Amino acid sequence: MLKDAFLGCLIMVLAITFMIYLIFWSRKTIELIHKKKLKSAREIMKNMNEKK
Amino acid sequence: MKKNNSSISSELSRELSLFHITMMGLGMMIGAGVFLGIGNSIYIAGPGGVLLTFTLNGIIALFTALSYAELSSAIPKAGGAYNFARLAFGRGTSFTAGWMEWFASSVAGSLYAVTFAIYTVRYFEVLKLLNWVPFSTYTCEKIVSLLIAVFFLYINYRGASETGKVGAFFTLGQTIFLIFIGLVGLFVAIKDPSRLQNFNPYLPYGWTKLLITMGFTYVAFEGYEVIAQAGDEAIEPKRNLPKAMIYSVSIATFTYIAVAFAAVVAAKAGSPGITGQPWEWIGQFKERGFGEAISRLMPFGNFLLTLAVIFASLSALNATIYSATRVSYALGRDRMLPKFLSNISRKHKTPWVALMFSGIIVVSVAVLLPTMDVASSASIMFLFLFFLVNLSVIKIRLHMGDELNYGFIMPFFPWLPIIAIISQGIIAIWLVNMSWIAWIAAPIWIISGILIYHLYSKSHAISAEGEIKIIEEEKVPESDQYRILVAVANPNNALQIIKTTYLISEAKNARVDLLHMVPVPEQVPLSDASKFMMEGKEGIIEAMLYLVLKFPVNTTIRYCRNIARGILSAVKEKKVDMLIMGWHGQTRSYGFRLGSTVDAIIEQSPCNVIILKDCGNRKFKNILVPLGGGPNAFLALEVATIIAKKDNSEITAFIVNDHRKKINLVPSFKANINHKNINYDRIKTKRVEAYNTVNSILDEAKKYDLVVLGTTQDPLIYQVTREPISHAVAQRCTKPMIIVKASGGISSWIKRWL
Repeated sequence: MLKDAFLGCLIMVLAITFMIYLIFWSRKTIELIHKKKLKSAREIMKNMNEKK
Repeated sequence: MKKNNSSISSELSRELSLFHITMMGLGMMIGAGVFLGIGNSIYIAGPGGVLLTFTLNGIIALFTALSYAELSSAIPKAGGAYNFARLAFGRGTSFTAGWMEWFASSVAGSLYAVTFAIYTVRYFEVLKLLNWVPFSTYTCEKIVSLLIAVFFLYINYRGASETGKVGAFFTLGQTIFLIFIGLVGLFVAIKDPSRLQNFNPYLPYGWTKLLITMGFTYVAFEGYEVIAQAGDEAIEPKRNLPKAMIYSVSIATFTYIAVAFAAVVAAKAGSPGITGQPWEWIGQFKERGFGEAISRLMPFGNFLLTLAVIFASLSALNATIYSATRVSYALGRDRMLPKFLSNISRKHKTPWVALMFSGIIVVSVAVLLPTMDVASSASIMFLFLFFLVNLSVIKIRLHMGDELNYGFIMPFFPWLPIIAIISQGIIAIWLVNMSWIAWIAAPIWIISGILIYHLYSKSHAISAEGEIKIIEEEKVPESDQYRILVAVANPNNALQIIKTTYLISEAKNARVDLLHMVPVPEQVPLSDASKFMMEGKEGIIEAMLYLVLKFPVNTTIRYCRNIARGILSAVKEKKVDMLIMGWHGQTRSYGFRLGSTVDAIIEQSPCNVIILKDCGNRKFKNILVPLGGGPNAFLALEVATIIAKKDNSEITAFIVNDHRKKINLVPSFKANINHKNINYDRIKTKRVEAYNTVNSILDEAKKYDLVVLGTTQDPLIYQVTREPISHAVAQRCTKPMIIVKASGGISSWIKRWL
């Protein structure tokens, strides 16, 4: 039972952390596309890869 | 959209901000799943299971929301999944998506009607108000759900619906209330850590039960479809639609986790009335479990929760009914289903046949099926629909990624949609353990849809040419020229308004835009509004013919949901300096002073506003301008001077020195240089001492041909307790009148609110 609780809490923490990461990543991407007036998916991906 | 059509263009009013569309999505989500789902999830999966149910559903929903966000940013058009499937897989799959969406939205409506009924009946039972009723609780719930569904079908038939802003604030209120419950739960757990023992055992029946609870609560995460439907109406859709989808799913997930935690720790082991472990006690009430738990958590918990459920389920019920109506209307319009489904009521302008068929589904499912079968049926259909959208996002990015203009692309492509497809598939299959009825109803509906497509739709559907037309936002070029927007509402008085506009535009060397707002009921997609095109066109043509010889004039027919919001959004988009509109002189709307449109325009318009009453083909020999010393006085004097020039009229500046303050206009006159058209030589001043300013102005007005009145700019808190002088005069004055409000800028706005 303790193992279930530990695993359950771990899954929750990981899921919530990943959600928060996706929210911030998405927000940043939307603003980047808007700011640089990017259009096609290829153009956006290229720009993001260059940034990395 | 700009359509050049014999020099009159038409456009859609983009009125919904990021806040509004986020709240629309949230309003659809926080409707029933959480209220019915928590008790049942605790019963089936245990106290830890309920937390994991909402967390895992939240992450899967977020993956699907990212797919919706990417597609909506590239195809920001009303239609949602129906459009995405058409672009990705063609007409057959698109029909299936629309067909599934119709059923899913209708059944979700049934679920919200049932939720309303369950919590209302429960509260009446707590108050012992149902002791005299000869029916069982279950029968009472079914009767109430039938009545509320029929009531909302009637409201939708009449074309009335909650306004976007009011609805958004209701949703915000519900969400804050639920977050508050979560915080109370956290506070209680910190104060009394022994309550955390309620989570022991964490998953009493094992991990596989999670798949069942995730299945029937998935309906609580279906708000992004309604956001996608708002593609034609959202401001900056490429930027705001994806943000709204991601924010709404995230807020809903965190809220659900918080309230689920609060529900588990709400009951204390060993307290009166609680037998066995607290989670078992909550679980035994099943769909009513959440209510029972919250009634133990805080004072007035029952009452507050019932209120929240009533508001949440009713706004979601309304939204799902018009969502179901829209999609069935669209299927009829595209001849995928018989044409009569797109018939529009002449009187109320609503698609009544589509509404009637959607209503039959809503009512039958709500009355005939048990609650959990209703929830499972809605969930399973949404799962299939989202399955299709996740497939569409992959196909569209791979095949059309270079052609479309994206506002957002998801990370980890294509892994997130693939994970979502697999998870949703597993959850949908596992739902058979919860409701075999759902697993019979859903495939029957889909198979019948496929048969209808092959036997009917394939041969009847209209041409695919131009089916996916994206409506881009119009950007107004920067210009130094003064811009006047004339909102022409009534063809009968259009010419009167235009004649006054002619004088003002000549004096100010202004460019004139004519605007006619055509309200379109929420049940009809705004992009189909051309059916209402002829309304008011006569008036705008008449007005245009008068002005076109004298000025460069733009004429626009703008389709909107709400006239005031539509005009305000046009003022902001077109960067207008002055708005001119007519007023019939009375209000039929309860709670408004000059009318629901004029009140909103005066309060919220960021530019100068001029409102005309009975100023048609008349000569004004003498004009009265009551002055109170505010910023609107100078605009009133300027307008009066412009009109006086035509008939060589006299202007009287009328100052009532009431008992509160003495008005001295001389320093203001000297300081004011902005209103160059004021001719002070033409103005004579008259001062009176009076206790009642309104009566004094009304008595004086009897001697004049025209009254030009600046609106009173009292702080808002004062306006709640007393009527502004300008509004009181406007309501009671029988003379032709012009009401003006000067643009006060941000400092004026802050001053009024403070």
